[in-house]
Amino acid sequence: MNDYLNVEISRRSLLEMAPRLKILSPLMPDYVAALEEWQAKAREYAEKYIRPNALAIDLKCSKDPRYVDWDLIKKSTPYGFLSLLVPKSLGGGGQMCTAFAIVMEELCAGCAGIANIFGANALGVSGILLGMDFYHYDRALFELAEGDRKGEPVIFAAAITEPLAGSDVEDPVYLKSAKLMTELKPVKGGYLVNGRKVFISNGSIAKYTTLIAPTDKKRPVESMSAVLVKQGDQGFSIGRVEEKMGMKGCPAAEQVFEDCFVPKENLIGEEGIAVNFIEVVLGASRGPVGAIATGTARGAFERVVEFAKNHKAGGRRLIDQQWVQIKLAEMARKIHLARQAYLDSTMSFDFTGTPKLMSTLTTKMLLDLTPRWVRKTAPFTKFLRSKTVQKIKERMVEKELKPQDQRDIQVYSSLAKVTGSDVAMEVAYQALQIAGASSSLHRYELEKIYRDAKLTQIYEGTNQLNRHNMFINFFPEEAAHAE
Amino acid sequence: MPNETNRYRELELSASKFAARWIEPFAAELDHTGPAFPTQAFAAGIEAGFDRLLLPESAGGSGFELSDFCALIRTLAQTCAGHAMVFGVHIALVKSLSELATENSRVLLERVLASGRPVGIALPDMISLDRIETELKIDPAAKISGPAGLAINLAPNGFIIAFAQNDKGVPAALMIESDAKDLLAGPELAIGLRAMPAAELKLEGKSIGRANIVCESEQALKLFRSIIVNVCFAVSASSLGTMEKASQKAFAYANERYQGSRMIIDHSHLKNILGAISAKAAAGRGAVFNAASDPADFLSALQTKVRVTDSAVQVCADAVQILGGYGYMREYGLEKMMRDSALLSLLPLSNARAELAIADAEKKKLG
Ligand SMILES: Cc1cc2nc3c(=O)[nH]c(=O)nc-3n(C[C@H](O)[C@H](O)[C@H](O)COP(=O)(O)OP(=O)(O)OC[C@H]3O[C@@H](n4cnc5c(N)ncnc54)[C@H](O)[C@@H]3O)c2cc1C
Repeated sequence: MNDYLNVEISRRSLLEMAPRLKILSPLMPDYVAALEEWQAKAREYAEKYIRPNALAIDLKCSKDPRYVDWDLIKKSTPYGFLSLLVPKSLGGGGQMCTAFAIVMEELCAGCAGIANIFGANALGVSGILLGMDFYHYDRALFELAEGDRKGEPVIFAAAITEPLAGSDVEDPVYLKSAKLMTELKPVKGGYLVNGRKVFISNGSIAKYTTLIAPTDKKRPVESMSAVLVKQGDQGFSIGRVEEKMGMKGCPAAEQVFEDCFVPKENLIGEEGIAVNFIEVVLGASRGPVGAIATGTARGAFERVVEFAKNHKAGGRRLIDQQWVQIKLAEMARKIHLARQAYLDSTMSFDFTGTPKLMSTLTTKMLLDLTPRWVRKTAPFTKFLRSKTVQKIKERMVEKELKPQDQRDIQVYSSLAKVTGSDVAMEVAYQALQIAGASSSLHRYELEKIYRDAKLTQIYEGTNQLNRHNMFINFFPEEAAHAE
Repeated sequence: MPNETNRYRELELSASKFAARWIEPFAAELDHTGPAFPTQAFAAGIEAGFDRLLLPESAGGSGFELSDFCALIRTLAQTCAGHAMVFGVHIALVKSLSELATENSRVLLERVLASGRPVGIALPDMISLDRIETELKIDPAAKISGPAGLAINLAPNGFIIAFAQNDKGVPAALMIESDAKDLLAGPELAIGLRAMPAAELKLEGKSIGRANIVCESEQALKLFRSIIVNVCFAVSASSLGTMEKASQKAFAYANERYQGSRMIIDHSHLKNILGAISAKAAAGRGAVFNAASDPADFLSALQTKVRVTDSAVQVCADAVQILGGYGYMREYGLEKMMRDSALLSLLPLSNARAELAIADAEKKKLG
C-alpha cells in the first residue's frame, strides 16, 4: 500500500509552500484563510477519491475513451469545486483564480487526468464570468452552483480549437489568416451554427459549452463572438472522442454543428468582442494551467520519494544515495519555482485584472443587492443587455484596469504555463530515471504522470505560442515588426 | 557509419520488407491491446535467420557484425521499437551465450536455437555494474529468493536469463522457463514497447534445477557484462530508429500544416526545433555505428546508450510538440514513439544509473 501522506511535501501547509501567503496572512487574514480552506478541501478530495481511483480510471479510459467516472464527479459536489468561481450570491464558492489554481495543484497531485475535468469546466465557466454577462450568471451559473448543492453535477466546456486552426484561434495576430470552419451565421432571433471544434475537454459530457466562432468567417478578428450551446440542442452532436496518450480521465471530444440554431439570448457579452474575450480568458486560465502542471510534477515527486524510501539499489535504499537526494532536491526546487510562477500569474489577475470589476460598487449592487428574481424579470434582463449597461461596463474597464497591468497579466500567465509544463515534463522524466526500469510499469503510476505531463506543454496555447506571447507583451513595438 | 556494402544494403532492404509484412500491420493494435508477444512475427524472424545473425559462420550463423545488427534493429524500430527490441534482446542474448562458450552455455544455446523460442532477461535493479547487485540468492539446494528486477521479452514458452549470487557473494547466471507461472505473474502493462512484454520477476523461495545454472563466478560476471553491452546496442539502435521515424514524421507534418499565415516549417522558431531534432538523429546515427564498428566494449556501449536514448526521448517529445494536439493522439503514432523512447531510456538500466556506471568504469581506467 502506498503511503503518500508519508511524503513531507504533501503534509506541508499552504503557507509553507507559498511564503508570500505567510507574509500576506496578517495583512489579509480572510483572503489567506479562504485559500487555506480550499486547499484543505482539495487535498481531502484528492486523497480520498482521486488517488485511489487514478490508475483504474486511466485503464478504463484507455479501453473506452468515452468513459467518465460520474460517481467520482458526484463525490466532488459537496466540496463545490465545479462552482468554485461562481459568485457567492448565486450559491457558488465566490473564489477567484488563485483559489482555483491552488485547488488544481492539489487535485493534479492526485491525478491530472481526473482533475482536468474541473480545469476544463472552469475554462467554460470563466468565459461567462469574465464576460460579465449577468444574464448567464442568473441562469447557467446559478444552475451550476445548484448542481453542486443538489449533488447533480453540471459540467461546462470551452470550444475554441478547430481542425485547421489551433494556435491561430488563440493568437489575435494570426487569427486574420486562420482557416476557420465554424461560423455563427446571424439569422432571425439568433445564429445558425455550422462547423466543427476539436479536442474539446469535457466536450462529450458538458451540459454547457462556451463556443467561440466568428459571425463572418472572412472577418474573424472583427466578428469573433461567444455563445453558450447546450447539450442536446438540435444540430449539435458529439463526433469522435479522442484516444489520447494521457490525461485520460477527462474526455477530449469533437463537437459537430450542423445548422444548429442558437438564440440571440445565448450570446455572451456583445457580438464581435471575442478576440478580446479570448485574451482575457487565456490570461485567467494559463496561470491555473501552470498549477495543473505544478500539481502533476508534485504527483511525480511524491511518488518517487515514496519509491526511493521503499526500494533498494546496490544494497542501499535509493533515498540514502547522494545522486538521488540531489535529483530530488532539484525537483523540489523546480516545483517551488513553478508554484511561485503560477501564484504571480493568478494573484496579478485577481488583483489587477477583470476580477477587480467584481468588487466595484456597481457590480456589488447588481449582484449582491438586487435579488435574482428581480434580475430575471424581462425589463431588468433587457436593461442588463442594453447599450447603457454596456457603456457602464466599458467605463468600468477603462477606470479600473490599467493597460500595463493587463500586459503584465499576459506575460505572467504565459510564463506560469510554460514554466509549470516544462517542470512537469522534466520532473516526471527524472522520476522515471531515479526509479529505474520497473517504474515503466503502470502500477507504479510514474509512467502515467509522464504521459499526463506532456499535455500541459500543448494545450492552452502551445509553449511556443506562449513564449511568443511573452515577447509580444514585453516588447510590443518590436513584436509589431515581426516576420 | 556502416560500409555501404551490398550486404549492408541488402540487410536493410530485407529488414524493411520484413517490417512491412510482419510488423506494420499489427504494431499499432498490439500497442493498444498489449502487452502481447508477437509470436507470429517472431517465428517469421527466426525463419529469416535473425537469431543466428551474429553467430559465426563456423557455428552455423550468418557471421554478421555488430553494426549489421544495429542496422537491422534500427530499421525494424522505424516501424515499431517494441518489435525491434524483441529481436534485439533475443539476438543480443544469443550472442552473449555463444561468446561465453562454456559447456553448459553451449547446451543451453543449442536448446534455445533448436526450439525457436525467444530469450528474455531479468534486469537486476542495478546501480553499479562492478558486480551483480541483485539480492537473488541460490542456496546449496539451488533455492533462490529475492527480487530479480524487471524481466523483459517475456513470451509464452520462452526462456529468461536471470542473475543471482550465493551467500558468499558468488554470482551465477540462471536460465528459467518464462511460463513458469510461480516465478512470473504474467506480463504487466508498461509505458511502451508493448510487443516486448515485461514483468517483475518474483523468485521468493523458489527452487530451480541445478541444470538451469548457466555459469557461476567469473563466468557469470562475464556473461552479465556481455549481455549489458549487447542489450545496450539493441536499445541504442531501437532508439535511433524510433527517433529517425519521429523526425521524419515531424518534418512531413510541419511541411503540410498551415498555421500562423504559413506552413509551420517556415516559422523560424520551429526551424530551431526541427533542426535540433534532425541534428540529434544524425548524431545518434553516428554514435551508434561508430561504437558498433569498434570491438564492443562495455564503456562505449553504455556511453552510446545514454547519449542516444536521451536524444531519442527529446526528439520524440519535440516531435509530438510539432504536431500540437494531434501529436498527443494515438492515431498519429508519435505518442507511441514518445512512450517507447521513454522506456528505452530505462533499459537495461536508467540513464541516471548508467551515468554512475560510466563514471565507475572511467575511474577504473585511471587505475
Ligand atoms: C487533450 C487536449 C485537450 C484540449 N482541450 C481543449 C479545450 O478544452 N478547448 C479548446 O478549445 N481546445 C482544446 N485543446 C486544443 C489545444 O488548445 C490546441 O491543441 C493547441 O492550442 C494547439 O493547437 P493545434 O493542436 O492545432 O496545433 P498547431 O497550432 O497546429 O501547432 C502545431 C505546431 O506549430 C507551432 N506553431 C503554430 N503556430 C505557430 C506560429 N505562429 N509560430 C511558431 N510556431 C507555431 C505550435 O507551437 C506547434 O508546435 C486541447 C488539446 C488537447 C490535445
